[in-house]
Amino acid sequence: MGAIDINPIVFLYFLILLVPVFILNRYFGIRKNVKLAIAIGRMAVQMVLVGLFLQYLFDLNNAWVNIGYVLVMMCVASFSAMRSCKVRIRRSFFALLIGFAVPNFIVMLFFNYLLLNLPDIFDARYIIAVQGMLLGNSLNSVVLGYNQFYTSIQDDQKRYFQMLSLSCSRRETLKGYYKNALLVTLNPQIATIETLGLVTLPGMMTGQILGGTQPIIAIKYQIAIMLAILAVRYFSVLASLWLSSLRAFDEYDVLTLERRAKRNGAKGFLQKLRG
Amino acid sequence: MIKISGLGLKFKDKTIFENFSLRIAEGETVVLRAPSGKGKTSLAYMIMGFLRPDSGKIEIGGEELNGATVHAIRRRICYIGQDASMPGGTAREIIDEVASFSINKHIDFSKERIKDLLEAFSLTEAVLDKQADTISGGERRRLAFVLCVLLGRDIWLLDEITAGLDDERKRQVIDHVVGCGKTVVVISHDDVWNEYESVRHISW
Repeated sequence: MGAIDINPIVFLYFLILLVPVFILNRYFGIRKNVKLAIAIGRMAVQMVLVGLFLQYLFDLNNAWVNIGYVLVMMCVASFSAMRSCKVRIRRSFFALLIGFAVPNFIVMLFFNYLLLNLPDIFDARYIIAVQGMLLGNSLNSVVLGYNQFYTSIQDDQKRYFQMLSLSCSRRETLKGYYKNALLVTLNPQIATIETLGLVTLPGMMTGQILGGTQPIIAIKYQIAIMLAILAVRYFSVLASLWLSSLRAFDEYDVLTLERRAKRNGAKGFLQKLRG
Repeated sequence: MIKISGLGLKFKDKTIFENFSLRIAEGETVVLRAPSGKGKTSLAYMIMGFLRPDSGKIEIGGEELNGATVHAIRRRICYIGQDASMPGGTAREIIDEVASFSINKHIDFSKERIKDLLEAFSLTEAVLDKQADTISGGERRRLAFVLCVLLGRDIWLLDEITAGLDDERKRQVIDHVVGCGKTVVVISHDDVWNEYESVRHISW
């Protein structure tokens, strides 16, 4: 049984659900109605375009095009991570790109080759869907891990210097910082995995079941996905931190950060002049 | 042992050091004094290579401090910072972590040795089970000093190591410093150091 197609007109009924949200927002003085309406419209346009584009890629199903598309996704993820991080490390784009690409590619190989035993591991339906999901998850973890790692060194420089002087080794000093960055990504995942199925039914599994897949098959996929996400998050954080740290510290082991220009426009500029 | 020549350092437009020179002989204990904001901690940071001067040079044991020598030089120095900042965990976990560093593997971190040193500085073993961030400033500094004694490096660089201690405990620490035979650079505002004739005082 395939998924029941949705009539686009029926989507309009869904908007009825949002009418009270807009009314209540107005009552509570939450001035987000315009933004919310734009966001919904934007999401609809984006998703339609992505749907058309994916349909085209699936019909074309060329391995090189698929790999190229995944690489573009990774580049966008790297730029997005750079923008979201509180600290800016010199030339961190390539560190992030490799940090995303290597673990994601290895986990994708495990998933498509070992688990699904696909004749073509670069099949658009699988590589784009799997990589998209893994990449989205690793992006989130990398930003959290990156911020935890570098801001804790930057904010408590005395402690970093103290441990550096006791160990005389950057590698050994950073071990504790790696540990904390990995914990930031690991702890929420443990909580999610523990409650999976009891408290939450993940979106992917729900989507599969709605699409007509037997629950027991959907569950197998979901378990594999959770393990893949766990691995890709962990190794993306570790790889991107390690690679970025090669350039983040000078020869004296001191953290050197690029100054991030504040995007405060004229207000920020005037403050800077006064400061 | 420590030779600083023509050192210059500026923070934004503020001159901290200008043509500053200092020589400290091997085995000497020197107390550095200066008003707040005059660069005492910056000087310690520059000796450790945490901060680079704008001009001048620093030599430790005849070796000029630069990117190639900084690691070898750091291995000779035990630096205890102003707040003796330590990572999270209990004092015992911190000592275990310090003992696990490859440079410290050959050092005797036995329970007996740690216990003896704790007692020498009026600390009990109970302090080892306290979380580092809950230990009082005075206890933390003495604990850091115990670490410094355990490591036994050639040069001790101690920033306000006696701050927050009563006179008796200050003397326990200072007695050990002046009798240790190491080259010791102390940053301190304490007058108790004046009672020790072998200590050289440098002010600016």
